[in-house]
Amino acid sequence: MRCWSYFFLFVSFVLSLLSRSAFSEVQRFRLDPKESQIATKTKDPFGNLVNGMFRLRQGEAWGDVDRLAETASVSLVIDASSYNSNIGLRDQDVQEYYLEVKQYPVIRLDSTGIQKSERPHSLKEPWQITLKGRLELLESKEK
Amino acid sequence: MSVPVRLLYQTNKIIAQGSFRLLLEEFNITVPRLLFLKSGNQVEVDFSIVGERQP
Repeated sequence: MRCWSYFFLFVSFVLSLLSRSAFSEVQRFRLDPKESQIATKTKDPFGNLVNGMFRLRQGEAWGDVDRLAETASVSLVIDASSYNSNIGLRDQDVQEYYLEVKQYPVIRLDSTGIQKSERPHSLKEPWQITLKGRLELLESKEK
Repeated sequence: MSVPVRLLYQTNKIIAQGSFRLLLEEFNITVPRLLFLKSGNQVEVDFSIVGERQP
């Protein structure tokens, strides 16, 4: 009888290890807006480089590290009116006339697929992935 | 769009870094101009996104 209980204990231990590796859990991540940043570079009409920044409003990502291509998904919401290039008048122009932030207050990125290169040897090494997604200016619901 | 991303995975957070270029006309954004001078139509975007792991 005692022998059988050891056997069942051993089997359940092995099964728990197998299920852990074969069906890893989906992990969820929420954007840390303070630590995240989006920087832009473009040229002004005189050919000078203009550096700008956008603020991220919210975002989340989830997926199973072992099955990123099948399970991973990302969505980000960028505040279009947060564009800042350190020149107030220019920023106001960009926001009002080019980004039209009153009509399109939000820039949204939604992933449509993720391709992963070879898995690194350890989780401390960076992964190289390719994110396919849809980036769009979202129209305000207020008219 | 297709963006190469460098993904750092840590115990309680992920960091996604990368850059890509986009054309203003793809988003129906008028290229800014000053009289007859036009700004660049291309914008280079660099990003560093940090996500905190949720329980």
